[in-house]
Amino acid sequence: MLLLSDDSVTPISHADRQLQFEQSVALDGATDPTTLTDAVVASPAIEINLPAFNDGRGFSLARYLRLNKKYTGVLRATGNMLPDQLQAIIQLGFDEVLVGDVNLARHSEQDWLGAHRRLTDLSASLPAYVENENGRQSIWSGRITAAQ
Amino acid sequence: MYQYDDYDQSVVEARSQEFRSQVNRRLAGTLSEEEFKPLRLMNGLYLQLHAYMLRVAIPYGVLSANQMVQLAAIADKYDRGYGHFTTRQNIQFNWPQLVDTPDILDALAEVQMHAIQTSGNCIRNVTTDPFAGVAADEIVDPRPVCELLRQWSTFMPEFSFLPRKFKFAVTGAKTDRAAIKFHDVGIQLKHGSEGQVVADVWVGGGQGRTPRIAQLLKADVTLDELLPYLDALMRVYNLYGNRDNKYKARIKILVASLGLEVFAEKVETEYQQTDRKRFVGVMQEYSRIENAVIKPTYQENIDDTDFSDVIKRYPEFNRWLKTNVFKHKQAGYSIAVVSLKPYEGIPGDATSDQMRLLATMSETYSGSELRVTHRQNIVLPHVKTQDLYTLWETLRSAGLATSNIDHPSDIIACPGLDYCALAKARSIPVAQEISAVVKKTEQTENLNGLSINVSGCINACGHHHVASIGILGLEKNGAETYQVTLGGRNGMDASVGKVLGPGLSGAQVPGTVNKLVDTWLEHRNKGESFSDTYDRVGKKIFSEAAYASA
Repeated sequence: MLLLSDDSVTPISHADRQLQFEQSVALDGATDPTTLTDAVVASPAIEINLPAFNDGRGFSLARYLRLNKKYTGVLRATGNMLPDQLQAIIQLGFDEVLVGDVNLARHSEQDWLGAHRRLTDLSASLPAYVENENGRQSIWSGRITAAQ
Repeated sequence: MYQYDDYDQSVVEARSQEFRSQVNRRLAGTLSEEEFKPLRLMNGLYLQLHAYMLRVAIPYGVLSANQMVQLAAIADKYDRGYGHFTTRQNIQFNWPQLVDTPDILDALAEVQMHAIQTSGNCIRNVTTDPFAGVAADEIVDPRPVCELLRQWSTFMPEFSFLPRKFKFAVTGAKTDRAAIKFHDVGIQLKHGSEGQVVADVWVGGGQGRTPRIAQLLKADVTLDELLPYLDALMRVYNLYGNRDNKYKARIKILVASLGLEVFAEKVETEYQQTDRKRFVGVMQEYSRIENAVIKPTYQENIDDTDFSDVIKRYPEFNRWLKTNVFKHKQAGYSIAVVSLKPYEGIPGDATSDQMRLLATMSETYSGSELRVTHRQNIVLPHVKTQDLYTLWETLRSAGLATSNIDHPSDIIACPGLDYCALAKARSIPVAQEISAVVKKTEQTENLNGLSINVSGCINACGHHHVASIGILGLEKNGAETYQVTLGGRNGMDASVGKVLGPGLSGAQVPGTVNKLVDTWLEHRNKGESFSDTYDRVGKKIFSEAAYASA
């Protein structure tokens, strides 16, 4: 298993993963964000399980937590993701992406490492017009800065 | 038209580079077709019946002469010497090789073009009035809002995996030439009570197997609040849209199942708590876009043009003036529409030679700018009225002067069973045969107000629901069969066509269309459109005529 963040790729043992899981609240990507309880939002870590790479509900759920609920804890993506989605997932405000064994059987560690290199290489990552949650300056704010 | 800055250029180049790596992984076998599919679709690359098809974005249908020349070069180098202009104001190449597609994207990026989000379950190319900025009846130029939407929706991570595709259309004129009521979201720009630009947001329109006319969701949204509002709307759709059945996944179904009021409440609640920080600077960006648009320089005080002598010599030119030339907001100028619907031709197709000629015509006569219409024709938006005759002569010599805009032979047709993996019946040959039979009547009678659209399956890419006469190809017991619908409209008076009667064979369609045209001619009042006549006299008269000897 691998744990990816904006600036690191760390192998993670099953024991550590078990501990991590126990210390987090797990939400399904299809969770209706208007049903989130205060207890969930107060949790230090929330995992959102993305059931299918082409199901974007978990993306809106993450954004809702970050922007509407002002959630500042650790947000972790798990489940079925493509390496090519890594940048989008980080942009949405996820701190961590857990690539499980099932995923690694489909997409090699090399593919994930490649995606992570593209993520950290500014010249290879996709620029964004609108501000995201990954701390990078958007094109729109870059233009405003340049105009001042 | 809008000119890229370095940021915009970096976006298309980064995308091209990313796609090259994905294609290489696919060719090397480390990406399966299943995994590659959503990635290639985000870049407009489809797998059709016989080959890949690449759909290139023409944002809100605006093209420069050098972009058109590059499209022609791509058609020659990577395809079979032609391209197909689409109802979303884009262009499709039907025969590219997978291995060449990264080079095609590079060639597009050289001229500020791309294939980003021309497919997939994301926000697609925004469409608008092909006469934007030049129409005499325009209230607000919709292009800056379109460009703002293009940038906002490009690589939007949250809305990259929606329940289904999502289409915006924007209009700012009295006449709706963008069919906003048949879009997931339609935006109507106008002036508010204090003269500021405001937007009416319409939601839940669409065609396909469940045609719906959009409803007004929120009126008078100010420009600075438009993106936060749309962001909230998209989030509600992303969270609550149906994901179990792709045929029930469009926003029109969500709006219908919740009811407009409940849907509007959900959007409003989300909108009220939407974090505004991401949208700081939207109005600066809107102004920057307005200033980044290169505007044509119009000559003032041009003398009125008198074509009376030429018209006597060339009645065909007179007809072209009446059908293909539209009123420009600048005195002395006209909007000329070049028909890509030659009689018996393939609707929307243009050869590379024709594309180059159109580019040259736009350089010579139209400020190097062209537009693609949702009826699959090409607009030269800034032609001096006094140049129209010379323009027409050149177009005629290239077979591009068919006088039929908004007439029955100006047929929208989807690619159908000749190309499309989803089609149940052929569309193109049917359109060609209809074009052949209506030609004679069209040249002797004024048939303005009768549109014909042909779809090769229930997905309705040929827009049959909104035509005066819609033709829908289906498969019945292994044979192609065609259902006729009557009475559709795609403007602000939108209506969905109603089924006329039993299905027809392909061979019966052209004759039946002819009978329907004749029936309209017999019953229409002066200046009445086909669909207005149909509503007034009723279906029976038309069905009796259509099935009289069938």
